[in-house]
Amino acid sequence: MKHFFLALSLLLASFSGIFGEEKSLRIVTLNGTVTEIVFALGKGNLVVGNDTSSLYPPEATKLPKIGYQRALSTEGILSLKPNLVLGLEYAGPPEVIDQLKSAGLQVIIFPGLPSLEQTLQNILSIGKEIGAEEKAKKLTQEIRKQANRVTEKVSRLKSKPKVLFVYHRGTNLAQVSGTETPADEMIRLSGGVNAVTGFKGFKPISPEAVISSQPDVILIPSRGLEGLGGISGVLALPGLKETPAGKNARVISIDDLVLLGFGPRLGQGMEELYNSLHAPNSGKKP
Amino acid sequence: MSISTKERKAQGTSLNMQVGEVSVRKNQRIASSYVFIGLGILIICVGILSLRLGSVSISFSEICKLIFLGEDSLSSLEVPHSLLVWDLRLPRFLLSLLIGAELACAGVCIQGLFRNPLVEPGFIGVGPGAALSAAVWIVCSEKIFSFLPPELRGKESYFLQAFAFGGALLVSFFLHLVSRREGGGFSLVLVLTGIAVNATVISLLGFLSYLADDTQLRNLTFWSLGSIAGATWHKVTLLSVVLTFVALSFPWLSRGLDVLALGEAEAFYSGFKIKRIRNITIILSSLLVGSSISISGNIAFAGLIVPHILRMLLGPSHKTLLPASILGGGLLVSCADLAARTIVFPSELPIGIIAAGLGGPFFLSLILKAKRKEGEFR
Repeated sequence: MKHFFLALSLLLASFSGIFGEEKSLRIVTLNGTVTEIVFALGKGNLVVGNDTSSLYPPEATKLPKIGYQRALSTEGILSLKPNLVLGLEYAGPPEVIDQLKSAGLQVIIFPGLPSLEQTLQNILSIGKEIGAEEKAKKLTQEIRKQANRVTEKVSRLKSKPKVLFVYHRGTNLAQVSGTETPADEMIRLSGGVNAVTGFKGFKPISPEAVISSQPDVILIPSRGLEGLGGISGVLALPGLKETPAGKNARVISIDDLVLLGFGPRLGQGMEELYNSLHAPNSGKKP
Repeated sequence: MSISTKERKAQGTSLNMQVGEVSVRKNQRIASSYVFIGLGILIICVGILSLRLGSVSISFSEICKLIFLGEDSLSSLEVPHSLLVWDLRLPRFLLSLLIGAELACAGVCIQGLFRNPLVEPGFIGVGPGAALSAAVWIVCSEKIFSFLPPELRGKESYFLQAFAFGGALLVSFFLHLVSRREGGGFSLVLVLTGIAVNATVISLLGFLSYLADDTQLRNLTFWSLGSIAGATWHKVTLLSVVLTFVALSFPWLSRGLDVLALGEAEAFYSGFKIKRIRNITIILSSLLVGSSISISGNIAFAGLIVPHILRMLLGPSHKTLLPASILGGGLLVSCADLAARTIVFPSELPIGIIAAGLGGPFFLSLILKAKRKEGEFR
């Protein structure tokens, strides 16, 4: 009998250990996409703080902010008493990451490559770390299904529209996307062709270069659209009026994080962009 | 009889003047010691606050136990207090002291060199030269030095410091060449050269930010706003060595700068080698500016405000100004860093913004006070 109770208490202790560990997980996320993944896996209640790029879901914005992912502060993160820190490779400065590790925290940094495969891999890895493997598998299957649907439609396309991605920061600075950016990859995945291939990354370009790129569609994240004061503001950018996109007022606007986040809403972003690019009379009228 | 009376009167007057001078000097010495003691006490207070405040508030007795007895008790975070104090807060506080000290000391040197209290190290192009070289390294290291292992490329590499320091030295060397070709009117030519260097640097930095990819651009931006977040003992050691080296030259340097203050002709007739004084001052201030900017990025204002305020408090003698600038600069930047890491906790503000925010209004109020008192600046 004594042995039975001892065994029972040990069994209960081990169970409480498992659940206790689950409960005591305190996560700080260093990147908006990572935050979104943790919330999508149903573990948002374990997040005790995140960075300023964590703007979705709305619950995430109410948590303590530890600064921008590239300018973190060791003590700021320590004050939230986390035991797991998750981020993408942009997290820094590197000394802060080293200090967090030497403080005994588990710090895991994932690759930030904007691609479908990397996104799925990151979701699975994060799921494994926070005890949500099953949910992560389901989520990745869902995203893959959505992506496959779009890819199949894209493969049947006879022609692909030329897309100019406009990235607007501040009042006088509009930059466009060249190659090797999340925007470039999204355009490719959704059956478009990037109108600008002469450089990598985001750069401002001259009105002449805008005209010679001859885009059929202008793609702009929704916050950038607001910054420019709506469609008429986008079309007023130098050179745009002389392009097919400008003449037909074809401007597509999608939420910043859906379009560029490469997180749980990647499949949704691909579908949204595909539908906007290839639906008849797509685009917004001024 | 009448002559002897005149002589006696004259003797009495000169004696009175000497006594007066001695008492003025004595008063000045007492005032200086008050300033030094005051700055020292304030630095100790900021130091204690810096070690106490953060993610966990550590008591004063705990800090004393840690530092003097090596005893440690685990905090509620399961992060040892020793780690918080020794690895995070103490190196950061010391680094902020050193950076402030170096920038202010360079400011005193440059202001003494131009006999103008309103110029600063950035003015002659040394600071911008350091910043440009660092930016060149940030942008080009990935492409040109791609054969190096990843830890030796980009912002994390010590090559960044080496490049920034090299850039500061290169600009100083260029100014040195200009000065050697110049007979008189040296200061004006140097100022004009500095302005030309600055203009060139700004355009080259603009071109580099165009070449930079998104990550590099963000690095450049954050680096140009200044930060002491990545404080390590290695950086503290590096700056300590530089500052000690410069401080050893203070006795000679203060004499030289005091003589320069009389004017170039007077200095020349006093038997001083003016060119040597000028060149060594430029090289030393470049060493200070290059090493501090390479480590913390751009913290403007410390090199302009601190020397000016100290000149108001202590008078123009470099014998007291140079050592006081070490304390004053250290105090300003350590205060700014403490504010930067506590105001928006758990986030952090760039220290450059705080330094200017703290220093600017204080500087203005002092100027206005001085103007009311004396009707003009000292």
